[in-house]
Amino acid sequence: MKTIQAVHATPENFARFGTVTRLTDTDCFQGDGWKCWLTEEPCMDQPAHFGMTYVRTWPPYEVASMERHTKTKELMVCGAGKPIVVALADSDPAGHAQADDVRAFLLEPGEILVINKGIWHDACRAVEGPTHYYFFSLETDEPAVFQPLDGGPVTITV
Amino acid sequence: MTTTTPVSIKDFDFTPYGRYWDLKQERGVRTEKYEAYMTVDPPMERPLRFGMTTCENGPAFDVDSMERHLSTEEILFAGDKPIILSIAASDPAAAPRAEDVVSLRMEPGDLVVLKRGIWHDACHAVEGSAMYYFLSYSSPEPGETAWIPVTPAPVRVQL
Repeated sequence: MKTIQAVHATPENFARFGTVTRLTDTDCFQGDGWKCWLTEEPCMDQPAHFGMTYVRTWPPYEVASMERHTKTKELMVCGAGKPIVVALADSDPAGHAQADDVRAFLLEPGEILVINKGIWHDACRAVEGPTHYYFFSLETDEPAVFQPLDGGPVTITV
Repeated sequence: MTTTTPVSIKDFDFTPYGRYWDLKQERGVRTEKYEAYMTVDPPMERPLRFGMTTCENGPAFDVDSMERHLSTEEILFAGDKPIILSIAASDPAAAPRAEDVVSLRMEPGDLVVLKRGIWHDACHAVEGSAMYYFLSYSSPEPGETAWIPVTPAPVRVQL
């Protein structure tokens, strides 16, 4: 079985899949006892539903299927102060995700990932121990169905 | 100075201030490996900027100023730990009034959208430090993000 080691998402290595923004790289606003950071521009191109996932799996784990949305981007952000990992593939959205195309990325607290329309993706997973994460994506008339990975499954490690 | 104690947002009628979701009461999927919840409707009416705040405070803090936005709704949700959201439905064209200040405890999984014009402080930690997220898109007009003193005096929030 193919094994893929997750790497930290950077603007360069993530460009094929979407954008990664480290919020603390933006200008900081602060008051008494608080600091905040805000993206320069809207984080998505259209309104979106809001979701939250508690995950109880972490590497090594197998990915046997993925979903993709051709009508909405999807934003992912850590919920707790712990990193998360996500497996993605930029295979043809009209076909199936290919095991050879799978990459896995680590997302740290303070960073947001926005994947492009059509990018195949697994659910995010914990890195070590249970955690939770949040996501924004627009539910459309396109069913969100996990489809088998061609040539899979693959094992994700960190 | 008046003193207030936070109440859980789960026990509070948030309607005059905006919209509230308890994600765990929304549609969800529960399995051994994960639990996922999603709102039935998009909480936002347009794309917004994404923000994160870290906060640190002791067992009491003063709400001495607030901001309000007329050009955007604001989405808020807790990140790693419970937070305190202090709000006031005072006249958005004047200043936040101490007697209108309400402090609400939000847990991870609680989501609010503040209506335009609702005065709000930065959120505070229930204990020690916390991180939370917000989305908004204010116009560049300076008054849109100005912090205005609470009148006639700050409100102390006792945790």
